[in-house]
Order: sequence, then structure tokens, then C-alpha cells
Amino acid sequence: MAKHRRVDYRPNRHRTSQAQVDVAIDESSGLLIRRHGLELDIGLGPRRAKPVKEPWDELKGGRVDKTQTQTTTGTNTKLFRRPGNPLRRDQKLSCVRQKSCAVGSQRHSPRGALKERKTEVGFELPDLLTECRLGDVKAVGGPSEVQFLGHGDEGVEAPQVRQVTHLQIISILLNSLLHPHERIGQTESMGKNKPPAKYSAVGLLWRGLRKQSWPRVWREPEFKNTYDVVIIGGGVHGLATAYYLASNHGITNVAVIDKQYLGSGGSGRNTAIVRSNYLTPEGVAFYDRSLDLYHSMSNDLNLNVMFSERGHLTLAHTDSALRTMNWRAEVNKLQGINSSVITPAEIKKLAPSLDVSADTRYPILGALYHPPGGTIRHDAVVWGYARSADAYGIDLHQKTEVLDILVEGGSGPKGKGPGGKVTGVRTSKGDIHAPTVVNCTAGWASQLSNMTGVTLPITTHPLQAAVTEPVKTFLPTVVVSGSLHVYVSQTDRGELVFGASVDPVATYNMGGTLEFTEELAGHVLELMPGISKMRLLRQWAGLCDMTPDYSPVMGPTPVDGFFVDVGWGTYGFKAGPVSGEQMAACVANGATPELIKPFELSRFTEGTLVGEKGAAAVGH
Amino acid sequence: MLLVPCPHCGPMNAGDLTYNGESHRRPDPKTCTPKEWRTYLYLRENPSGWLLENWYCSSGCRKHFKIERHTLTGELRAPVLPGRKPGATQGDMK
Amino acid sequence: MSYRLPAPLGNAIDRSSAISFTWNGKKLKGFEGDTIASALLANGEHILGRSMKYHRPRGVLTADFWDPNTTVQVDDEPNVRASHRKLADGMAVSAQNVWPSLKFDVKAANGLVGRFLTAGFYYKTFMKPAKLWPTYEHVLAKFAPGGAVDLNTPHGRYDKRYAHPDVVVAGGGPSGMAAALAAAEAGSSVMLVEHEHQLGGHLLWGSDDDQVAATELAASCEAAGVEILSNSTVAGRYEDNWISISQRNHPGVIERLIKARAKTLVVAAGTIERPYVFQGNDLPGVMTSGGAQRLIRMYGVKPGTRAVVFTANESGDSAVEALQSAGISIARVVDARSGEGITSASGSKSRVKRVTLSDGATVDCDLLVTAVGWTTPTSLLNMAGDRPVYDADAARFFPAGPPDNVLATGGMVGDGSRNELIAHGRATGELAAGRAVVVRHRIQAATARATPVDGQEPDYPADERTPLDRARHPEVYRSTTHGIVDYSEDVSSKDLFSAAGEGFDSVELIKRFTTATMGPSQGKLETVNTVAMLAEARNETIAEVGTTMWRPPYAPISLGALAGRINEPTRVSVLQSWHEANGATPILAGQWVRPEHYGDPAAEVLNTRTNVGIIDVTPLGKLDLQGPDVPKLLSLLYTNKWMALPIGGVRYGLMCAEDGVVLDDGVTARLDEEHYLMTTTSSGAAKIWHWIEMWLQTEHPDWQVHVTPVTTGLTSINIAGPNSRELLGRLTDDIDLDPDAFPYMNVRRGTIAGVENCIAWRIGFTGELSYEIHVPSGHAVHVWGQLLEQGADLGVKAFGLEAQRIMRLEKGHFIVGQDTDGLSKAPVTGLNPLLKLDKDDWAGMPEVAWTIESGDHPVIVACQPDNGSVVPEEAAQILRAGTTEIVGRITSSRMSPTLNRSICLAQVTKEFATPGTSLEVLLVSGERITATVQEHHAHFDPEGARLRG
Repeated sequence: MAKHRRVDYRPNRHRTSQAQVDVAIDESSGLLIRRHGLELDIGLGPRRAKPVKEPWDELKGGRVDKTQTQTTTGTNTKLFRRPGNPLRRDQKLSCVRQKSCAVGSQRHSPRGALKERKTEVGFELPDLLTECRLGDVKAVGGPSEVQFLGHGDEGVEAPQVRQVTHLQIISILLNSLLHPHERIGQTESMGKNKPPAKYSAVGLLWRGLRKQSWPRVWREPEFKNTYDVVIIGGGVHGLATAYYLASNHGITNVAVIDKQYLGSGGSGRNTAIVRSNYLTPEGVAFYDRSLDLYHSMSNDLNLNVMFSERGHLTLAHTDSALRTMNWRAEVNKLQGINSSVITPAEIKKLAPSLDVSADTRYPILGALYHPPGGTIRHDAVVWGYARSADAYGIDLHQKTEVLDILVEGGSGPKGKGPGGKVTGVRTSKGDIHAPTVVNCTAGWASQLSNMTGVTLPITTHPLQAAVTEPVKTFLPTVVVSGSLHVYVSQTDRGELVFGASVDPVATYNMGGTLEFTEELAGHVLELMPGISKMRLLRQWAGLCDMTPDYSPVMGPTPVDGFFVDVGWGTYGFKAGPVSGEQMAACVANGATPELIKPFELSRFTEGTLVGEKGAAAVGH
Repeated sequence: MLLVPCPHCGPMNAGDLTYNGESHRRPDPKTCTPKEWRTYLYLRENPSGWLLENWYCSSGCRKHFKIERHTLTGELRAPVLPGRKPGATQGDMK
Repeated sequence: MSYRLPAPLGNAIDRSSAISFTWNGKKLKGFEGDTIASALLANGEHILGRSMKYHRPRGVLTADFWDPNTTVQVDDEPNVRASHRKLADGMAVSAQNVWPSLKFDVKAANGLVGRFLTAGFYYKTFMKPAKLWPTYEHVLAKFAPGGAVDLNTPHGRYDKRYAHPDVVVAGGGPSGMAAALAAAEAGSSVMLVEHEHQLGGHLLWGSDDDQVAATELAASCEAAGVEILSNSTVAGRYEDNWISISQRNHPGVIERLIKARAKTLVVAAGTIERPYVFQGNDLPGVMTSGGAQRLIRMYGVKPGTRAVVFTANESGDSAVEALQSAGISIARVVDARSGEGITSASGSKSRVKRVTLSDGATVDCDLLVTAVGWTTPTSLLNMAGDRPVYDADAARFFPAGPPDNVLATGGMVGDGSRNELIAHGRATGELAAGRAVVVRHRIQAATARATPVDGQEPDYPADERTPLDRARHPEVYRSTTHGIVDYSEDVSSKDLFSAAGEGFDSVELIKRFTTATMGPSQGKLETVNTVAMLAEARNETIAEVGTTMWRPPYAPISLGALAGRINEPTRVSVLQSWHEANGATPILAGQWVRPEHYGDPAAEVLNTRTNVGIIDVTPLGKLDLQGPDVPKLLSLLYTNKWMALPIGGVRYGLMCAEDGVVLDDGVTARLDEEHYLMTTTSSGAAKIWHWIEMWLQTEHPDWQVHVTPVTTGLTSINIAGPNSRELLGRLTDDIDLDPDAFPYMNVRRGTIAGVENCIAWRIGFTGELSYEIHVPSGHAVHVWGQLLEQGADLGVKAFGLEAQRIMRLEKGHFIVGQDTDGLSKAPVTGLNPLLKLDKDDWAGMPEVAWTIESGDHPVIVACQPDNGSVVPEEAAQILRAGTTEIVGRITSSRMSPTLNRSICLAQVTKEFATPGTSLEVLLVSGERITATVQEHHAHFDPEGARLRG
């Protein structure tokens, strides 16, 4: 029997979708395609994902045991709460556990909708071709994987283990080259539980040749009156939470509600910088997990989020700033984060536009250099999560405003407040019954929470940003100066994108100020005196939900069923994926995962604040 | 930039003042519970609407005063020095 | 061949004044008054640049500031708008976004694969293999449009100005000029701001009568005292009519930012002509009717030789006249009002050659002029909160209702003859002036004053203007073919349709997905067409689709102008010139520039410990407190007790914020019955002043305390070392320095070096016998000199900040903000005897009490590395032995010249705080060393025998 070589999961780079397929090479006889039981060990930290022992681990060489690979629809449907019959939390818990036990055989098939059309359970070339792109299969020379975008479908089964010979691979390749339209055509239909069209270079080419348009990224769903989970806020956090509820926990009867369009809040207004070199171990662990998810996101979501891992410099202009940089570098080092303090000469090499001479008003004494930091196309992250969540059947309701959150049995007026229980939300399109409501609304977090009678430790401040006209690229890294309250990066289009610290006055007005641009320009020219002739093209503002300790508020609240993922201040975008993942686990399991324990609301009554202020005051 | 009417100095650019946030009653430190104290420290109504808040005329007369501000529209009304009733003499600028 | 037309065409140029410049290295000539673009066109250069994505050749489209593809590099300045910037002698102008040359651009090959590069194509590809993405990214970045920045550009001269006009008028067309004139005649101070180089607006390229009227109106404005700012842009309108104006023609400066607090703002921005969407609409030679008229009438440039005019309005009709006056043959006038249309234009690489009409006929030409309607640039009104509303009958957006102190006039609100526009402008100016009077009255009334403002508030003028009519206009946006919608972003109508089809079907989503309207003209040309395409794709009306928000600035503004003169002040003590003259190495500490050392900090330490040293500690925050209730205030703000401090006594105090976190520390002396002097940390000086005022005014307004900051009024000098008493004794007669008469922690006032009213207190951060003297700053140089002169034989030497830091560390004094952090509650300092929980109240007391009760907090300890030659870095982490669990960190560390070994302060968890505990310290190098927790914070003289001596 040939040796079964496992795919290198690199847990920190693993795919979070449970509907996944491993491809391993059976060196003597062929290709083993196997759905692996990669189980995200939510709550144990960022790097603990591990494969779970599965029934077919014993299956070698492609032997198929149909009794194990097939499942009944009936078992699977128990995993999902039905409209009008909301489960109690303990029921939900048991269901989730049951699902975990039955890992693998109970997975939702990403190809369910397609498989449904096939009467025969078996491996078929067009199926594989539908899902895997040319590049994937080509890579089958060494350890590789055929990665499916996870599309959930209840109770539809897919083949689990099939042997594919090299001959077949070659025929797959040939077939895809000769008949690319077959696989593209099959994914055309768009609708609940149908996989979206696969994005790829071949697809672009093919549609370009045929002058064929792409199908919709997400549906315009009908408004339903009952959901298992309502997520308020269609930004990165809300959409990621929805996506991971479906992909990691099989919970798909979910609505995401946004007052405006998807990504209209902070998700579309931030400066798209990511990093994980925080100051506290809690912060580092958390943001590092987020960076991992960002790394694999383009492939996980099959949408290029354009992660530009260009490095991140935090400049120190004073002794004390340098001391804080050293502190951060040391904490980072202990947690395996690539982050170190570098000298002005090294800074000059990385960013020649910076003035590192010693006689400036704010001399650059050193910098914390974080090579894994960089920028991501923020809108693409929103669209990627939205598209994938939609494919799982999650309803995305745009232009739907939440007017009230319905709570019963609480100690406050109208039955709201601590001790109460959420029963639903009242929206501009009608009432929704839901036992679980998640508040992912950033700047408006207090407004939404106040609707349940829960007061938050949050004030809302605008954070302003601005962009210049494009010029040829000259700034290859992200540059941040805490002392000068400014951060800057250059997009691939050549624009400089600037941000600063939040405005001091709390307001919901996003009009922006002239003073912001004046200070910004003054400070940027301190750092880069040569760019005075560049012109500011546009300024804008987003609303930030600031907490006293510059750390988020995540998890349950004193109102049962009401969860918050708020208090993200100026650093919410960096944390979008991990927040979604952890909030999904929190909602699904009814227990706060370890990774977000330090950020629970209760810390403010217990007086155990998180000390992230030093690294997050200018949060980029 | 917002014009904030200091009761002494008249309308000032907001940047010439220091913003001290939502007005809060301080609990008795001798008798309060941790919950009361930390509510005072951390919890904020943070309304989108009228808010009574504290400002400090840090580049002018150095008086602290309270004023009602609409956090969405930026309208201001009834500036008042601590310990006094909202003044009738101050008009609405806008 | 020259495309220059004979006079009288060309009212903006001065043919008597020729100007030389270069275009991509080629020498050319133009006239004074030419824009770069008009000069190039006059020289037969029709291609000014290439488009962003497909690198298609592009020429002049609108011949004004918003011309999308005519940005050029001028010397070291990127992105200069060739259709707006005036030609100057010797300019080196070159095309941007071309490689290797304007005529032959390799990247134009992108055009061949255009059908694959649909909007947002990059989101759909380059995902695998992930490893290659950085390479793809690198290639994509090569396509960044725009010019090049010369990073050695000096910060030229920029400036700022504040203004307080009654009325600002944005836009110097007929309505704007009339408004400014009427407001000035009504007694208002008025600023009239015109984006272009001269007043007149569309009259400048109108009929002869129009041009005469423009000149007359401009002259009237000037005569009426209106401040006229041409080549200037009202860039932003912020809260309470805070107006930013970018002035580009102020003598002696590159650009000036004017910040005006206008009582009323009149927006008379006119209209911007929309391009038409059809196949080939971006070929050089296709231009708007306004563009063609500007070129002919203002610059005397012939935009072509044989023209087709596609018109839906009067502007197209007058363009026909202009073309005829320039001797251009009119091949065909296609009138949209009678149902005619054009479907496509085709041509060579460089020029339009043929136009296909809706009926299938083709017409040869080298110029296609379109007049299909207007975009209302409502940016400033948007910034004031207005959301424009679409009027299908007039085929454009109109303001809905800006706030009362913002008024719109002219083409923005309707149409009419020149006289009607002027009449509306006049009415608007009068209204603006009337309202400005009321606003001025209210601002005055909002200020407390001894004498009330004269008179009653005037009546608030109601808006009784006769509205301008809105001319009917057909909705002409797109032909049956697809064309470019956003010229600067290379976004076509097809891209927009496909994006809408993919679900990016709200105006904001489509903007973000396709980048339409996000380029340098920020939607001035493209927004309405984008909205129209989306409406068509969604089968909705334009009104239903709505528009995007227009954000500031109205037109781009240079970073230099926003920054103004770079002015970041620093603070220095009056002794700074002495320090500099005596070899001090400066260090920036917050706003202060201080001497770090004078060459050898270790020697300075040793000299102070053995002889006597003096240090300038002026930045120490100093607050003069007077009044009967000062002790109550001190008791409230410091953690310890203050009610019984005797006159002449000095006490150390620690301050907490209300969350119990250490806020500041310092000493306070009682100088007299009701007179105290408080010191704070240097960085805390301003903060603590505000803190005190806050408590006094809000919580205890009944307390009688007066606070005066005297930080720089008094120059502070610390005299430290065994010889300090001897030294000070030589300078004073009236202060008894006998240890019994003037013991440790006491204060005396007297005359030092002949300077009266000096304060001296016996305290010491250094651990030595020391006196800190506070001298009126005017005499400080004298006193400092006397100390050095009189103490020469005692070995007196100045020492700097570094020596002081070493000595304080030897004494184990912590520094707020260095050894404590944002979460360090008072018990962390280990100064628990100072935390008096039996007082009634002090700031932060409850949290401190609960922290002590829980016992769960880190502690500051002194520790010494077992190998005394190793100095662990400040911020080195302390780990549980053999693990990576962080249990603390080194907060301060130095090599002690006194002890000749390394010494540290550290914050560790309680478990590791016991004296004698061995700590494992991870050095930055990765090496682990051990250090031992000490009995006392003080590494040196823990009993304090020296300072009490």
C-alpha cells in the first residue's frame, strides 16, 4: 500500500471552510481526493487548527466505503434550526457538537447544487472542472490541494473519496483547455445555495472571448420574517461573522442588515492597512490570526483582495516612542511575529522619500518594522465575504434600517436591559423574529445597543482620511508616525492615502474638517519634504467607536441573545476576518472563545482593561 | 470648523477649545459600588442627537462650561458656566 | 502647421508677447495668456496624453480645468492641468503616462486585450499561485497614472491667511459677479472667488456683447470694493461657513490657503458641460461645445478644419457660430432636438476622421463637437448638507435646499438670458448681505459684554428671489453604442453596465467597483453620466438612482498650501544659548529642546556625586497656587495628606486619574499662609493645569483657589552634590542654609546672587544634597553664571538630562510614563504609604482602593543583572524562567558610573516582586540573562543619608 502523504496544512494558513477537499498524491497509483476534517479549534488560539481523525483515515489507496461517505439528508437538517422554531441555546450547542462529531460526512457540499442534478454519486470530471481551476490541477506535481470554495447546501451529498489516475488528470487538463466553456457555463445560475461563478484568469479570458457577462455577486433576497441570527451591519465584521457562521458552523438561516449599501461604513472608508505588531499578547495573538486569514482570503473567497504585503513602518521621533517600539518588538518576537526596531539608515533604504536627517523638528530616531504588514483592497474584502455568505444562502438586506431591537423580560423600561432576552428586530421593511442579534455597527454601535437597554463604553468620533492625485509610485511601504498623528501609504494606482488619529470631538457628522487636511499636510511634509507639490484630491471621514482602552468589545451582553462586536475604533478593518470567525464561534457555541475573552464587555465593570493604548492610539 | 459660543469669549473656533465629553455626575467615592464608579468612568450614552457636554476654553478665558450640542447636525444651544442656569442672554448664532 | 486664428479671436492672449517652452523636449512658442494646452494645439500638437488603462491617445476635450486627459509634467511638478495652467517662459512640459513616448506607447497593447480587462478584472484573477501576486502587483503598479514626484523638491513658499468677510461668492460668472456687486453695494465686505484666470464665466467665450458685459461687470465689482480673487478656488465649505480658498496667483507664493469665516456663502459655480457617451468619444478631435468655443474665442486656436456638431441645446448652436467665425467648415449639424443622433466616431491613431450618424450615414471630419447638457457642480452645497435632486425635464440635478447661510445662484439653479442671470445674481447678493447682517448681530450677541449690542436684531430676510426658469432639455446621455464615461479612469459605459449586472448596482458600489468618478476630476465630468448609465442598466430613472456625495476639496489643493509655512515651534529655557555655547548636545523632550549632556554624561554624574553639579530644569511644570482652599485642592488631587503642611514645608505627591492610573507626580511647597508652588512633570505641565481648573470649576466652584502657570516665568536650576550648600551659601545672605534651619524637604525664599524673590527648596531627584532654585527668568543667565563663577574652586560643572536620568535611576525614582504606563494604577509604584484611603475623597481613590484590595497588580521593583556589565535594554521582557510567558519588563536601565554596574527598574507581576527573586530577562539579542530583585528601589544610598545631610 502506498504511503499517503498528507497535505501540508500550515495551520495558520489553513482554509477555514469546512467544505474542503484534500488532494494528496498516492505516489504509486494515483490521486486521492479526500475531504479532510480540518476543524478550526475555535477558542484555543490562533494557530491550533488541526485535522480531526475521520472514519476514512484508514482508507488508503482510494478504497471507497459508501456507507461512510454517504449521508442522509435527515441527519443534516437537524443541524439547522427551522424558521418559527428557534432553538434554545442548549439545543443549539448540542447540535453544533453533533455536527463536529460527524465531521466530514455531514459537511455541506460545495457542489451540492450541481450534484443534485446528478443521479449517480461518483466522481465526475465536469464536477471537478467546475470547481477547480486550471492552475490548481496543474500544480498536482507535488503536495497540493484542490480547494473548493465553500458553498453550503443542506443535506446534499457529495462523493468523498475517489481515486483519480494520472491519466485522468491529464484528461482534466486537456478537457479544461479545450472546453473551458463547459465548466463556466455550469456555474452560471445564481441563487440560493448555488455556487457563484468561479473567478479566474481563464474565466476572464473565456468571457472576454465570448463577450459574456458575469453573473450577480449576490442576490437581492426576499425579506423574511424569521431568521436564526440577525447581524446588524453589512461591513467586513458583519459579513465575516455571517460567512463563518455558515462555513464553520453550518448556520445559514442568517440575515445581514445594513442601513445603506454593503461596506458603506468604516469598511469602505478606512485606509486598508493591516498589521499584527500590537503591544499586548492578547492583541498580538488576535491580530495575527486576522493576518493569517487575510493571507488566504483571496483563495478562500475566490476574489482577489489584493493583499499587498509591503511592510509597515512605525516611526519613533522620541526616546519614549523608541522605547515603546522596542517593547512592542520584544512582545512580538516572543509571539513569533516578524517585527523589529530598525535604524534611520535602514529606514531610508526602505522608504527613500523619508527625511531621516537628525536636524528636523521631529527627527526619525528609529522605527518598528513589520514586514508582514501591508494594505488590502478594503472593498474587495467586503464583496468577497458578501459573495461567499450569499452563496451559503445567507440573506443580505441592503437599504434596510433597524428601527428597534425587540427585547423581553429585561430589568429596564419596556422590558429591555440586563436580564432580558432578544426576540427580534424591527426594521424599515418589517419585523424579524430572531433569537440572536449581533451588533456589528461600528460608529453606530451605541445607538443599536441602547435599543436593547445595554449601555456601551463607547463614544463615536470621526476618523478622517484623504487621498492625493496619483503620481508614479515612490513609497513602497506603509509609514506611520504616532507622534505626528499621521499614516501614509501609496496605492498601486499611485495615490497617497493618508489618515490620522480620530477627531477629538465626538460627533456623528462625517463632513470632515479643513484642519485635518492642514495638519496632515504639515506633518506629512515634515516626514517627506519633497512632495509639497502633490495635491490633495479628496478627503472623507468614517465613524469610529472608541473605547477607553483602545480595544474592542466582543461577545455576549447582559441581554441574552444580544451579542456585540463593536468598539473597533480605528483598527476594525485589520481585525475583520478574525472577529467574524470568533464571533461566529461565540454565537454558535454560546461560549466566548479564548481569543476574544480579554475583550468582553464585562471587563469594564470588572476593571480589567486591555493595555493596547500605547500601540493603537494612532491605530495604523 | 464648528463655532462654539464660550459664555465669556463668544463664538470660538472649536479647535481653540478643549472638548471634555459627555457631562457626568460623579458618584460619592466613599460609598459607591464598583459598578457605579465604572459606569461613571466608562459608560456613555453617546447619543446621535442632543447631548449636554463639557468644554474648556483652553485658549481663551480658561473657563469650563457646559453646552448642548446636536451630535449629528452640529447645532449648539444654551452654553452655561458650571453652577449657573442656562443663560437667557446668549442667542443662537445660526 | 499653425492652428492659430487671427485677431480679434483670442481675447485671453496677448499676441505681442511670445513665450518659449518645450514639449517633450521640442522647442515651441506660444503667447502670454495661453494655457499650456492652447499653446500646444496652436502648434498642431493634438495628443496631450494617454489614457490610464488602455493608453489610448487623448487630446483636449473641455479646454478648462476639468479637462480629463491633459495633465502634464511641468519641470518638477506632476499633474499640471494643461488646459488651465498659463504658459510661462521656459517651461519644460512633458506628457505623462506614456512609455516610451507619446507617439508610440507600448502599453497601448492593453487596448487590444481591453475586452478582458473589464472593470474590476483584477478582483477576479491573479489569485493563484498566491506567491506570484507580489509580481502581478508590481506590474499593476507600473500602470499608475500621473506624473513623477521629484523627491528633492524644496518646500517652496506657501502661505495662509485668515479672513472674516461678510459674504464669499464662489464663481465669477455673470450671476456671481452680480451677487458680489449687489452685496458690496448693500454694505457687505465681499470676497469674489473665480476658479479661472479672469472673471466672466461663460460670457468670456460668448458673443461680443457677452464679452463686453463681462468686462463691465468685473469693473463694477472692483469699483464697489469687492475683493476679487481670480485663479482661486473655493475648495471647501465646512461647519458654520468655514470656507477654504486656494489662491494660486498671490504674488511671491506658490499657493495660498485662505480660511474665511463667511457669514453667508453664495455659490455661483455655474455648470459643467457633459461629454456624450458613444463609441469613439475619446478620440482626439472630439470635444465639448464649450471646449471648442473657449479655444476659438479665448485663445484664438482652431480646434479642427472640418467639423460635425452634435447639439441638443443653445450651446451647440453658438458653437456652430464660433466654428464658422474661425473659418472651420461645418460638415454637418446633427440636432438631437429633432431626433437626430450620432452612433460612433472613428479615426486614425491620433484624430477623429469620420462620424457615423443614427441613420447610418457617415460624415468625414476632423472635429466632432458635442453639446448634450450640463452637470451642476453642487460640491459646495453638498458640503453644506444639501442633496441635489434630479429634474428630468431639464436633464440635470438642482440643489434641493441648502442651509440658510448658503445661497445658490446662476446656472446652478436655472437658466436664462444674460440679464436674467445677472438679475438673479443681484437678488442673491442682496439677500446674502441682508442675512450676513443678522448673522453678524447674532455672533456679537453670543459674546458676553458689558454693553449689549446696539439695537434689536434685524429681521431675518426671507428668500423672495424670483426663481430662474429651468430650460427644457432632452435627456441625451448615451448613443446606441458604448463609449468612455470616465476619461481619467478609462471606464466605459460597458464596464458600468456589466458592473451593474454583477450586482454592483447602487451608485456607491458601482463607483467603488469600477473607480468611475474617482479620478482627478472627482466626478465633475463623469458623475451624471455614470448615474445615467446605472439608471439605464437598472431600468430606473436617474432620480431613483441618485448621486454620490461630492467631498472636499472642490478642486485639488497642494499639500504645500495646506501645510503653509512649516512652523513647528519648540520651547527653550533662557539658558539655552549658554548650553549651546558650551557644547550641549540637544535633545527634544516634548516641545522642549534641552541639553542631553555636555560631552560625557558619566563624568557629569561622578562630578555631581563628588563635587557639585548644576542642571537647568526649567521645563519642570510650575503652578502658582493661591487662596485659602489650596490644601483642600491638594488633598483632592494628590493621594496623600496636605491639610497640615507647615509654611516652609515641601511634600512629594502622586496624582491619579479617576481610573486610579498614575497621572503625574511632583513636589509642592507652602510658601506662605495661602501661597503654594506646585511642580509637575515637564510633559504634564499643561495637562495638570487643565486638570486643576476642571476640578475647581466643575466639582468645587466654591473653593477659593487661583492658579497661575509660571513654568517659564521662573527658571529652575538644581544645584546638587556634596558642595552644593557651600556653593549656594556663597550666593545668598538672607537664606540660612544651616541643615537645622533649612532641613530636607523645606522651602525658603530669599535673594540669590543679588536677585530678589528667588525660591529655593531642598529636594533632590539625584539623591545628593541639593537645592532647587527658582529664579525670575529675566535674571537667570546672571544667576547661572554666578553659580559657575563662584563655584569654580568647588568643582561646579553643568550636567545634562542624561546624567540626571542616571542619578535618578541610581536612586530608584520612577518616571511617570516610563516606569508606569497607561494601565499602571497607583499601587504599581510601590508607594502604598502615600495612598491614604482614610481621606474623604481624592481623584481615583475608589479604583486605587479596589486595586490594593485585590492585590492583583504588577509592581515596580529595582533589579540588578547578575552580570553587572550587561545593560538590558529598556523594554526587554522578563519571562518565567525557561518559558516565553511574559511576567514583566525592564522599564529603565543604565550603566551606573557610581556603582560601576548595570542597574534597572522593572515592572513585574507580584509573584516576582519579592526582594531576592531571580528574574530571567530576554535581551533584544535573544540572549537570556538573570537579574535579582533588590531590597530597595534605590540602588545607591537607600537610607538617603546624602540628601538629608
